[in-house]
Amino acid sequence: MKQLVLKDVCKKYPNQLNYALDHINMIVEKGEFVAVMGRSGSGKTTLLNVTSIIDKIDSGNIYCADKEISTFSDKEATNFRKNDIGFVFQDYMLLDSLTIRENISVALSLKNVDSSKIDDLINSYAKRFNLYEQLKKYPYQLSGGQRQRVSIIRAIIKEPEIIFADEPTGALDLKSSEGTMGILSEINKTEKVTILMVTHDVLSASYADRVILLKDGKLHMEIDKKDCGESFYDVISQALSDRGE
Amino acid sequence: MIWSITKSNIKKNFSLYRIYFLATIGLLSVFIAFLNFISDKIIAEKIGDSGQALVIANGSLVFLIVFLVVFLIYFNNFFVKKRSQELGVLAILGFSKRELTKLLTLENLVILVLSYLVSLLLGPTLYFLAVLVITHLLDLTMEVHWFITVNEFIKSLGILVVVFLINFITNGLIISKQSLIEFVNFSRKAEKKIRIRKVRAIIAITALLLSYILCLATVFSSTRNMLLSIGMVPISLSIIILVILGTIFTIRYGLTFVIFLLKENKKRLYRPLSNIIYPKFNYRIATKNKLLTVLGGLLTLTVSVTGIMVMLYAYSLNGIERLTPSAIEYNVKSENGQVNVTNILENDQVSLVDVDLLRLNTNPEVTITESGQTIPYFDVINYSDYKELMKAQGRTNSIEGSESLPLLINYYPTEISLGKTFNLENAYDVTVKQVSTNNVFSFSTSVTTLVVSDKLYAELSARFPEKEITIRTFNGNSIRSSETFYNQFSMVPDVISSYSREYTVKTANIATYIFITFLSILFIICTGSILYFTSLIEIMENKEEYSYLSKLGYSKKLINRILGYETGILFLIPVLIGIVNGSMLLIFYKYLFMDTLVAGNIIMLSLLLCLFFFLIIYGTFYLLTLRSVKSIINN
Ligand SMILES: Nc1ncnc2c1ncn2[C@@H]1O[C@H](COP(=O)(O)OP(=O)(O)OP(=O)(O)O)[C@@H](O)[C@H]1O
Ligand SMILES: [Mg+2]
Repeated sequence: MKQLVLKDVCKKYPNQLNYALDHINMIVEKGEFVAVMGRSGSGKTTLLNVTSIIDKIDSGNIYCADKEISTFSDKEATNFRKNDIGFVFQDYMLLDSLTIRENISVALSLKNVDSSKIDDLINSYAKRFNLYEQLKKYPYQLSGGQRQRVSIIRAIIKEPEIIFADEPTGALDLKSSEGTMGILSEINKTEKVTILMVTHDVLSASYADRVILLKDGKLHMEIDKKDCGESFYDVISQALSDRGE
Repeated sequence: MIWSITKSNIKKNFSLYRIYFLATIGLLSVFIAFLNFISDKIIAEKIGDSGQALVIANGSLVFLIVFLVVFLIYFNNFFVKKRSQELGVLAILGFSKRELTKLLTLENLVILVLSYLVSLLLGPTLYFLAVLVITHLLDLTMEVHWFITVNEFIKSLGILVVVFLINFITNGLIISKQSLIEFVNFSRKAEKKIRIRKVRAIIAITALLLSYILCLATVFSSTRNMLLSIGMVPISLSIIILVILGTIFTIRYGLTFVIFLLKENKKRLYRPLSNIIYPKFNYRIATKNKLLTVLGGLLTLTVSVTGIMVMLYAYSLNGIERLTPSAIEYNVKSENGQVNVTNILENDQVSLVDVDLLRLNTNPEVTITESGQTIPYFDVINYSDYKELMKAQGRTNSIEGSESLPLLINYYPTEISLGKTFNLENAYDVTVKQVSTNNVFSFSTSVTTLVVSDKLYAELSARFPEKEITIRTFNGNSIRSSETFYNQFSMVPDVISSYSREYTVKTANIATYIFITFLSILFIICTGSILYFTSLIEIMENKEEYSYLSKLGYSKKLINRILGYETGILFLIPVLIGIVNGSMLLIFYKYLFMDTLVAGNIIMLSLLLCLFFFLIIYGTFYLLTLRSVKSIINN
């Protein structure tokens, strides 16, 4: 089943000469874990923003589970973000004046989850990702890796269909990166959540099922894990260095 | 180099600077307007007459200077802290601490100089408008004009120099004391852990409620007398102490505790709106409790002072009705033909009533106050005259029936004489059947009027003709406040006129009235601009959080509501505290310090109007702030 379908998607920022996204066609299957790579300015963040309809496209169509989301009204877009997708960002997007528990509960209260179940849900997720001790603290009292785990919990706890992640390991050291990617691939496997992730980091990308390479807003190359098997990591590195990176 | 950074900084951060500018200009203009006010010749003259107003004037000047300096310094500190991250970046880029201090000093200089120039124009204008409004509100005749004096230039410059120097020193200190990492993390520091102090919270809230209960207890005469038996001074002192301490600690501990309780209720907390605003309230109260306390105190002061003035004004205006029940009243004997009665009566609005009055000595003397003051005579009038005069005065509803004769009209509310028998001129016994405070004559004509039946009056008058005088009264609604009508009688010695009474009431305390109104306006502007400034900066600091919320699925509408609540809490706490504390203190004042002669509901009504007016003003401030906040976030 197709989760996300992009047809001839074009996007140009005002007062900009080149297309940020230039006739992109791609399909993401349900439960698939896709990494988007490419050099800086190639349009990765833009791609993520338009597929999560934070930003509008100029032409083309985007479908999510057969619904055309690119024509959504503001209200429909809000509902879509609220119910169907989760975000994990490089800068965590945590609210400074809320405790960790309150930060996580936002996703659930917004979805009108029964309030008596919220605490139990948070507790079980926090235990699973080794954050239970931190629930009473404030974001500034946590390390970067811990904060990123909080933002992942916030994204997955509402059981979305898709998770969008923009450089989730961008600010983390190797160990924390591995931890974060471990969690993402675990929930991808166990919960069958579709993940679309932007990353610069080959190691993070190698956790995905498929890597998409963007170049100047165009879809440049696709690498499927099934085709490479064990050598997935090397193939990605090779592909990137072929382009002089 | 530094200068060009300063310039580009101001340009780049214009929205932040704009708030700083506006707030500084607001405070400075208020100060200049005040200087303008006390150097106004007309007002100076009036203040000179009244020692009380002079004391208020000097006191307020000192207060305002302290206030201005403290808040300008507060603004600067606030501003520097908000920008510490940016300063940290510059420091990392290789700016020395000296250069950073220089940068801040230059920015400070630019802001203060520009605000100074604008305020020199705005201050006198503010003054001009304020006096215009006041004279209209109080219905006073006074010339108003725009002016500025050298004194103002110098004084306000002096204050700015002081502020500038202090800012220079504190900025230098902040920068030299801070390490690079602290710069970058400065705003985090403020997020100290929020502690819940249950016992203190409960004590604080109880103290505040107790003070309210004590204030309200003065409303009912039984509880009032209980309080009075303890003594006026200890009661007043303990109420004031309870209000002050209760307020300070309720803001400090009570509010966080209340929100903690709210948050405990998960059903409530886990809703899209409360999940964000409860924690944010908590944070706001924890980090801003000193500011909230100061503002709450200022507002309490403003509301109480304004309220007392409004009450006194309403009291004296309302007292006119009692003090001069007729538009004109005089003893016929003291007039010798100067008044052209036929001419006056051509106006059919005007009615003339002549009342014959017998002043008869009595044994025992008449007690006129609860405390036992006595008067040795009655002023006896007959029932028909009483009715006619009451009708002419438009008080048909308060006329007592003939079954209540003899009726004693006491000036002061006391029922001591009820049922008592008095012996008039050692000849007649009368027993008072009813007492009332609805006087038909002015205080100076009669304090103890005794209304008797026409028959008894005829007998008394036949017996003591030499004790009879005739009081002439003129009535009619349109003439009570008319100067031209009064002028027709002004040459009569000892004439009692409602017009001249009203005139005295309005002019005698004009300086005090204008003064307090003016001070209230100043306070309102000060507190308003501080609230505006703080709200905007707070929201701007966390600007990106609202885009997170939108990415998480919060609709624009929900985000706007969150903004409304977040801004609202900063406004609501001081305003609510000011209005509730203020009205409690006013109730206390009214029932303990003002006599109950004048209709209490008129005083209450004017008080309510005054509180309503405060709500409207702060409501408007709130809406304006919210508008700016929303425009910042939605861009
Ligand atoms: N808000 C914007 N206004 C104008 N141009 C923009 C805007 N955002 C991005 N661009 C441009 O669009 C192109 C794609 O940007 P995008 O942010 O998608 O790149 P990216 O692949 O995410 O880069 P990076 O790896 O550095 O994050 C770039 O050329 C960028 O300059
Ligand atoms: Mg990017």
